[in-house]
Amino acid sequence: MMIYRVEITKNEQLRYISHLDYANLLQRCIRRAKLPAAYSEGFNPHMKVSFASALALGITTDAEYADIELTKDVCQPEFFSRLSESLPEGINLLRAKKLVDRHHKSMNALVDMAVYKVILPADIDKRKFTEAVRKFNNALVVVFVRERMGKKAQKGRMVKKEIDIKKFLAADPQYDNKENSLLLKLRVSSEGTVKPSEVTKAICSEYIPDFNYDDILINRTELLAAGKNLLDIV
Amino acid sequence: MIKLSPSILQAVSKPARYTGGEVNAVCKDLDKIACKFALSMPDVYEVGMSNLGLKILYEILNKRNDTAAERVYTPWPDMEEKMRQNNIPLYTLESFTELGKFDFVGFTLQYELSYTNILNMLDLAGISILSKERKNYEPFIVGGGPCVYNVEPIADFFDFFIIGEGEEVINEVVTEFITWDKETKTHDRQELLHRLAAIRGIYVPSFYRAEYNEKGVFKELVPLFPDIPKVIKKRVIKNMDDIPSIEKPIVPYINIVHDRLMLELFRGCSRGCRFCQAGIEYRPVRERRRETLYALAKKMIDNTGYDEMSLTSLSSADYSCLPVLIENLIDEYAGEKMNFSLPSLRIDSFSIDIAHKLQTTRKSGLTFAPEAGTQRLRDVINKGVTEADLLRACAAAFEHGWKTVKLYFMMGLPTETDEDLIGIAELAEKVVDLYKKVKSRRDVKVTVSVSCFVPKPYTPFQWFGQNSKEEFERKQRLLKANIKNKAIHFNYHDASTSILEGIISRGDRRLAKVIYLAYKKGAKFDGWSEMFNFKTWMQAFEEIGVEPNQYNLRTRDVTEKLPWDYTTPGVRKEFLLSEYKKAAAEELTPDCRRSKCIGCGICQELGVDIVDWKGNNDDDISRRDN
Ligand code: SF4
Repeated sequence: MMIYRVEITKNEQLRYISHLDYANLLQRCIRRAKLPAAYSEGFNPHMKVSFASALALGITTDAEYADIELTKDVCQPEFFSRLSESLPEGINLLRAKKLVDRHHKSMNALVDMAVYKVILPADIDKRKFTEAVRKFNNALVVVFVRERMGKKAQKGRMVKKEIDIKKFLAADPQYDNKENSLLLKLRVSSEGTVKPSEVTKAICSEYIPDFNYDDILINRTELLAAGKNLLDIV
Repeated sequence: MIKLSPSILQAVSKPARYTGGEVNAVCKDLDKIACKFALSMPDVYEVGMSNLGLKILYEILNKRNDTAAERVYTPWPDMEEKMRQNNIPLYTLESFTELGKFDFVGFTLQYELSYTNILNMLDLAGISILSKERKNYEPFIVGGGPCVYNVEPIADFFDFFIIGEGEEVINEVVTEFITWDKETKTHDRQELLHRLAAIRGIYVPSFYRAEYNEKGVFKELVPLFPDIPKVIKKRVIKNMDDIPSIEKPIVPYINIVHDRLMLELFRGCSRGCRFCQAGIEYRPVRERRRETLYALAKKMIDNTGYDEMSLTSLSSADYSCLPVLIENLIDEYAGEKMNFSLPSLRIDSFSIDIAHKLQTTRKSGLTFAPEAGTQRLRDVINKGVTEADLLRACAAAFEHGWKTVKLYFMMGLPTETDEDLIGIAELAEKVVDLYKKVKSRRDVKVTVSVSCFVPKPYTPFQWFGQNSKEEFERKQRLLKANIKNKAIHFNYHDASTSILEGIISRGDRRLAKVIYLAYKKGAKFDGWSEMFNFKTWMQAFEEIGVEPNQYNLRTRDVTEKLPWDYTTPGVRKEFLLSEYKKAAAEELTPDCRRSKCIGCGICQELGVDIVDWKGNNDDDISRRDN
């Protein structure tokens, strides 16, 4: 038994694919590459691949991580080229590293920060937006009302919940006027996290009420554990 | 090239339906291509992507260097709205080219309730909906698939139809088009249609005039030119091992309805159930060699990375080499955790053993289709299954550990009485009791699904009057009242969709106006119960002044000419008639596959033979002289 940790991307072509579909896609690529993937036991065996996070539909990334368990040893160059060749345009394999510690912690438990770049609509009023970011950063507390479709007993109803959104920020959001993009460093912990779109909404809601949230493009640029890239910690 | 902005894609459900780029999708440079062929199923992506026929044609067309085949499906209403607001025409998923720029747009006709979607798609593409209004620069609209054995209700919308199996004829059509395209200066579409009409299996509806008698009943279809066939017979593949099939199916990014590989073991089924249209349409039975299947399976698995494969056919358990094939496949792919499944099971213990070996159906429960509740009625429909067969199969299933069985039935079959209906409840009750006996436990679940019978063209019941909506609803209530056991779950559908299906499937050309008006009034996705509006349709019938009952409720005189007599699967009318009479007499007709020919006439009419590989290992093809 051995495990490879891979650093992969989710490109524009796959922007609208859910995390589950993305995971399925990677698994099919591993099968096409004829790598000796390990499977769970039981009636309904599934491939032993675990992800660092579940990226939301609509977000691309340069920093997705997965641990892939194999039943046989495959050398790194071979693993890298076989997997690379089987990936479609929407995924690139950036790095792959064999895990030496057999009792490594799951990535899920290690990740504590995610960095996002939000590309804003071209027709946005830049002056207004700069001002909104400044006010947001100056405020001590920003309450955001999270709305989501209820589950189980609350199924079919909109459930509202107030959260203090600043609690989830690792740093003040920065607006890059030239690039027209917003840099967000968000905390990830057992207490949960916020979505980059939620932070954008919290910034805009008061000052730019007609902002079209469907028009922003989000990319996750980094996923970190104690300031380090997930491939550098193994 | 169509570009979609994020503000559109982020605002619609399942945007991946509209963004293409899947693994194994074929993207060619359309400027270097002589023939551009769009392939469509008029339903949403997840349904359309699951269609076997389109997958086959996609690969066959894309094998040609001079041709590009691309896909297009029906946008869900949320996307349609966005497209209309932003003036985005319907486009294909490979090159994002608008549909209007294609040479052909081919629709597979899988069920009648998808017809309004076709009109809506043409409209979204800016293509003339009526074939007679189409200009020379517009694409040729072509239809094919199981509904082509009565296309009269949609004849006005199509330039031509392909009757029967498309693997060979599609190439002939494309070749003819390319020649015409080079030779012609005027690009007169009539001229190409004349040339196509000379190809076997091609039906150009505008070359025929429909006549009706003074009572408004269909009289005949008159050819308008001396050189076109009076009757169009289906195309059929003689040797299933000779034709190209699916090797590199597209792997969708999102879950589709049949999200697995499909290996087509054989075509046709000759068990002879009298309600079944597919049974006649796809005759005779033609099996693929085990070696061919094995090679196809390997290619598909290697090219896709799928972990599930369905061994597809009308009645897969009838494949003569099934146990050996399955054994080989399981052995070969055990390490890769491949799952193999059968789409349908025969009601016998052989099938249960196979299902047990495959284990994939374990989660979902087993499905059987006794179709009718009493032996008398099962004899009427020639379903060669007894109550003892069903109970034996269920017992085998329970012993293997299954706890859930689904039983499929129909109501409204010819000669049906209330006793036959109550027989459904009684049969389900017996299955529940059987479980208690076998397992000494009570945790069984029996689902009884009852659909409303729709008589179809080219079946022995093509003359039979369908039950009315009220009668179906009365029967549903009656059956419901007779199911008292908590372990039995009763499923049934709104009868009105079956009524509309019944009207259209045996309709004539006068229905085109009704379908067009219903579409104008907003009918779309009629096959989706949450979208279906029966009132819209009934208003359309009334405004056009067409009496719907004449098509579905009326029992036809057997001497009457039928609107669909002109596009035929090759079956003799006398055979259907004798089956109709035998049904009334509750007499059975055997399967012709391994006994003698029972005279449906298809083999002789089309010059084709049964291909059956009886004996698991001998490679002698068993062809019989009829
Ligand atoms: S012609 Fe005879 S052998 Fe051929 S399908 Fe019909 S009944 Fe069967």
